[in-house]
Amino acid sequence: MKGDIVPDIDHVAHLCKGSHIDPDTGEPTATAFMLRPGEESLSVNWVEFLALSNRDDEIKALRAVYGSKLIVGKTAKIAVFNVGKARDEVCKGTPSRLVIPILHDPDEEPGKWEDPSHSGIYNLPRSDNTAAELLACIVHEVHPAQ
Amino acid sequence: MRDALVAFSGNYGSFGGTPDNGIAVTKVPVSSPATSIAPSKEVEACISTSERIRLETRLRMLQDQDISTAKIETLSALSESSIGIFDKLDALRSDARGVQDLIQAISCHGEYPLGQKLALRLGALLEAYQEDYEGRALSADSVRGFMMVLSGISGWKLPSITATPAGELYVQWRHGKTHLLSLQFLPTSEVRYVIFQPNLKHPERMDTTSGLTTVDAVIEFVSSLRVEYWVKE
Repeated sequence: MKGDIVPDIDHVAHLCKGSHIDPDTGEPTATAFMLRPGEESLSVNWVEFLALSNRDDEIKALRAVYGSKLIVGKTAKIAVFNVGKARDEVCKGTPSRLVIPILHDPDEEPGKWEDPSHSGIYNLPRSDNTAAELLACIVHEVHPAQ
Repeated sequence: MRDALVAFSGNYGSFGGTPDNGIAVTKVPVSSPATSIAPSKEVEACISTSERIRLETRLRMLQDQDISTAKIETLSALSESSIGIFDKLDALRSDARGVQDLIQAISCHGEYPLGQKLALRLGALLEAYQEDYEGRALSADSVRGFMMVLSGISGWKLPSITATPAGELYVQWRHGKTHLLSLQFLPTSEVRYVIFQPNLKHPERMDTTSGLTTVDAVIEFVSSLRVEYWVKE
């Protein structure tokens, strides 16, 4: 339900555009975890909410959602990370002990697409890149987005 | 309608998109068959959905041979919208050309030995950013800011470079998994920096340093924070 806290043991996935991927390593950099102008939260998907039995199926389902609502470039990637680790590392690693709520925020465009696992990472600062760097560091899986 | 837009965009070069060229616009072959010229991403991005619907309706009227009033309205609408679209297109192309010129200047920078490799990276990044962000170019002011520090980093390793969502350069040096220096070149001649490196007395503990400084001071400043021994070749 909208506003639910995504549990610490669960995982979220984030679509990273090609221009935010380090071409040398193929991994997302901090720029993938920065807010765009006007964004209140960083868009992610609650992986376990999809209720599928394995990661391959979860990634396929996410590709389908992204493909229906966004233009996904050929070099874009899906980064997966643990919710508890993200919250913990950002809290420990930022000077202000930043708390970043990760909340369920289902999204849809009626008749066009549905994104029921959509969630958001809130309270990310625009004026300091430490949190974005820490999120990039705790990504533990990277999958092609196409 | 898509075909009409294709034909329309294909004729861009012939009328230049100036506000007073109504006569030239009437030459647009709205009823001609589709050409092989694909609409660019910039054109696609510049035409809003509502604008498309409006023009599609008017063009359907035209295709049904519905009197000359419809034709006049359609051409008028196309003329109005084309001015906005092509102004935007011109701006996008101009921005990209400006950044390409700067990248070219980096490739032959006298005081930075890795200029050509860096220019290749920036060229690829510009292309990727345009693909991701509807044809928008990287921030030229951000690239200029980065150019200002090149002589100061002439002995440093080649950095990895990505773009922030706003199109600013984000330049990074890493040493293993424990050392990181990131510089975000803002269009305001400022640099936002983050440094991760092990604590001097307790190497198992990671020190993080972040802040904002001016572009002309940043290299001297971060060098004072013990990064030089691991960012250099």
